[in-house]
Amino acid sequence: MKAESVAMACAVGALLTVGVVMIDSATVTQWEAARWRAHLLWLGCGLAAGVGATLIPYRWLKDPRVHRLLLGAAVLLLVAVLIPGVGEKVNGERRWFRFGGQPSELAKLILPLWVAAYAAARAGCLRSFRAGFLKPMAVIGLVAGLVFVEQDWGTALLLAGTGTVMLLVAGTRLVFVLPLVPLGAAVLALLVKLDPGRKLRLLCFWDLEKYADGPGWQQWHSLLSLGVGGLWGSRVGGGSHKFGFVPEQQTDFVFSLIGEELGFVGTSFVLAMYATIFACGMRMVWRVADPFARLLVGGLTTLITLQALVNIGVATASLPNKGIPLPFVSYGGSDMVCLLAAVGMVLGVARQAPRVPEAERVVEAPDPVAQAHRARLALVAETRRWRPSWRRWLGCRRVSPAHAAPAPLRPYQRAPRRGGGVAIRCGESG
Amino acid sequence: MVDPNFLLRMGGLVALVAGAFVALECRLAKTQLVDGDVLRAKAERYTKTRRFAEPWRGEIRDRAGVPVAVSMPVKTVYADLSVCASRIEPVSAVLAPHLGLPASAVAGMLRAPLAVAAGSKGGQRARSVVLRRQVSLPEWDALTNALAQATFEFPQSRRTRREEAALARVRRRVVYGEDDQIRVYPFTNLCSTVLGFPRRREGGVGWEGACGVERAFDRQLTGQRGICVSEKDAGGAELPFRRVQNTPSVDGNHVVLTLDTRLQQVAERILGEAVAERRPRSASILAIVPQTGEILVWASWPQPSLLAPGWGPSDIWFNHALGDRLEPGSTFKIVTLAAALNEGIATLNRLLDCEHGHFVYRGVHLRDSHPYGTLTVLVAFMKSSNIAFAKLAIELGPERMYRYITGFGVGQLTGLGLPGETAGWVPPPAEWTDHTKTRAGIGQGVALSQLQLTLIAAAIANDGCLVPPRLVRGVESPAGGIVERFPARPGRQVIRPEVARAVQVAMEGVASAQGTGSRAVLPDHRSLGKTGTAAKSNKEGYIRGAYTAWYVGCFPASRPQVVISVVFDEPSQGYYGGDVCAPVFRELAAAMAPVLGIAPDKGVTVASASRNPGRTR
Repeated sequence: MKAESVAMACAVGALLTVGVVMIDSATVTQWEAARWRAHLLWLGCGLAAGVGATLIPYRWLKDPRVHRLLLGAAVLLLVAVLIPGVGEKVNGERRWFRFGGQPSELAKLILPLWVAAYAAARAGCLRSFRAGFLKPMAVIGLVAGLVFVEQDWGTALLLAGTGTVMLLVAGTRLVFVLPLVPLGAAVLALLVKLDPGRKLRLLCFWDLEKYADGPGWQQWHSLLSLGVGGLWGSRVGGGSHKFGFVPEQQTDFVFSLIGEELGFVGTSFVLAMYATIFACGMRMVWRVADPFARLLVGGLTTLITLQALVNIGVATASLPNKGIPLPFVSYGGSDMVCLLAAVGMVLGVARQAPRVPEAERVVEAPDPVAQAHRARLALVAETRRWRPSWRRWLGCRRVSPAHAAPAPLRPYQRAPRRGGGVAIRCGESG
Repeated sequence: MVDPNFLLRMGGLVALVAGAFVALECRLAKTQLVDGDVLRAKAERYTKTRRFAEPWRGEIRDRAGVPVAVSMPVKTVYADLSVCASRIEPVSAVLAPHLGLPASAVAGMLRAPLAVAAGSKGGQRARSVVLRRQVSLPEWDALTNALAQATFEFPQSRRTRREEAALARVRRRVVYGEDDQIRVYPFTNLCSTVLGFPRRREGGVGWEGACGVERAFDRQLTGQRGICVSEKDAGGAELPFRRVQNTPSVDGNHVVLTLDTRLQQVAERILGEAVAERRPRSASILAIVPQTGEILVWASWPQPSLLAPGWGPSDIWFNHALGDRLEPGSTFKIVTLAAALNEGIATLNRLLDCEHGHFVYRGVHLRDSHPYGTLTVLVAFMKSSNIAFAKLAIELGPERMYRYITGFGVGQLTGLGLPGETAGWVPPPAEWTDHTKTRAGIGQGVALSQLQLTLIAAAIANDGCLVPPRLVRGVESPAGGIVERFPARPGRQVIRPEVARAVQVAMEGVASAQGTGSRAVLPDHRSLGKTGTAAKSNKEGYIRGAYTAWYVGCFPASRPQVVISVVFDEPSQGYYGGDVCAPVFRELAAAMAPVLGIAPDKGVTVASASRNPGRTR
């Protein structure tokens, strides 16, 4: 686990460095130098938050009261920011508090935590409709919907996407999730019909040059910046498109600046860093035993990676324009703090969560007798109208849902360290 | 082993994300590596800028350095459409009085490009429109002052801070003025034909001379454009720290002419009065200093307007004295006389039979205006007898005549340098018919420009040395230094000096009470002259009733300092040269004498004249 943690931390550190350099280059012109100093300040806060998140005891994270409290606080803050007096409107979006801070960023941290906890606690119910699909999706829908109402469509879609992916990975049936896709398309079509300008803004990324004077300006110039960069890019600070051609170049379109000043080499490096983060996260998921830890690590890693992919997709004009900052690189205090806290949480969980011992991960040597025995058992089971159940695979005696899930832990109880519960002992009947 | 269901789902997620990474990497490779050059070219249209700084056009000055054509700064007023689009009516109301246009016209100018942009789908939108060009600086100042007070659609008083900021932004950006220059003429229309006018280059940037001196010396007057290669931001402002090259412009040099504005003003007034009386098709006065070839006066009619160069008939800028190829008529007898005297076949006292007004040579008839009997060459010249000089020309023969005609410059360009010059025409000796042999000596059947005839008379006045004409004295730099001087070029001796002096004696006889130039006699000076009345011809033959009236004269006779030629093409009232042009010569010469400081020399012999040479500038 140490290798993955170090690799992830190094990747995050490299991205932070790239971010600092790029913000310095971008703020030469579009904002004053004070913004760069503010960025460094946020960086410090974020590192502190990350280190703090690493040190959070694992049992606190697993405590269901904590989950409920955090979820309630997130929903409350999201509702509060919509109140005209408390939240202020910038660019038509009401997502900042008057005194600073974005609750949608907090939701990005809290929602995966809650979903992981729910999925781990109700592990057996996830195949059902009501407990496995409806209830968690309702909560996800509520949180994402509140963010959506703030006019922050990008973060809303990100939250919904990450929550859904986490549920799917945890065990929700794909059959329930698939109808959401056409439903979402229908909702989108309705929204587009209500506002024709939205259709242009959504679809102009397909033919940017034609709409370069209108809604396509930002993405068109982002594309031009990438093209100007070529293989090696102009030198750092030598970009021409930061003089007003790509608005928001220090927040949502930092990638175009990387492309222009560091070239293909730079953009590939940044992409490789995100791939490293994802790979390390997935490897941690592979190595960790506890389902909650697994889902939490996987979910947070997926969140970071999805955010990076969407932002890079927008910057390369592969996706419609969505205002999502690039993780760890963009200027944007609350986003950086929350994501660094997320990384810290991941590293902390990876450090503290129970792991699958190496001995039990040994792939067993092919044993023809045992294989034949298992095949016979399987044949017997097949003829008995055998319904696939993962409980059976685990070797549990009872298969009814009521008794499937273990009782939730009381606060005074510790998680039993059983050395992992996922080893199948050879010979047990399925 | 792990739960295969979980494994499947995790594997699916990893595969999807990995696929997304690969897809993005390919997209990046395509954008940055494959399409890089194309995108870079498109990006440079937005980010790179190349601006030219227009140089000041040089002045044109007269021989004393008085400016005759000057460049003055003006502004071209542009309206910024992005600011005006939502407030066309208030903006028109504010701008219209200062632009000198009705408010509806200004509103129409603002609406037209916006309507065009609305029609096209997401195409190029015009960002600015020209409201008026050549706005003088005081008008521009008044306009900007009015804008600083205007409130457009905002409330007149008690504006919020946001409204104040918006109003300030509108005031600052609604119009902007681009620097430009126009030609200003302190003497209004003086010598407009010679000066010419500047016009915009093709492409709309910069000026070039269209005709006259402006065109002949365009390279000197224009100077060199400055260039600034740099980068610009999204608002179009140049970024000084990204400058690649910044070469300042080099202003044009000043051209100093040999014309004298005082004499030119007098000449144009006299010409105008004469033209009003005689109503010709065109008329010109040319005055040259015979020793140096400097042109002092060049007045022509019809006179184009320098303030509105495009107005008038299409040939109004045609320089008649330079480009009109006319038959000189009797004035050409100067050449015949000079040739005959130089060849030694005659003296001023030789007797010639004028056949009583009717002469037949090999079937070609020739008539005099008055029948004369036997005359000396001198009297024949004074009376302008055609038959006498036709006999002299026949005696000289085509080869010798041709040699002297071309020796006096007919058939070649004078080398003045102005565009549109004609070289004149004389048929080669092998092609001379009998008709030509009788007519060439009296100036029909050859053609030359007024300038060439003036130079011939100047050669006679200059003791037989034909000097090339000069219109430009030199070129000066804007700082005052001399760039180039055009000194008088050496002439060529066409006839011997004593022959020239003999011709001068004959010409003095013309400008006396007994000669045809009796109306050109000056009150205080002795002068030389020769009249001419040439029938005009077209392809079919000579036109009845169409004549060119000539008079060329020099004064003072003792030592000629000025040669003046006057030509009236197809005058409506009268047509004899001695009738139409000689009075003009008299008036002009009388006006020029005190200005040039030419001392009176009537009653003064050649010997005493050499003690009082008189002054020229």
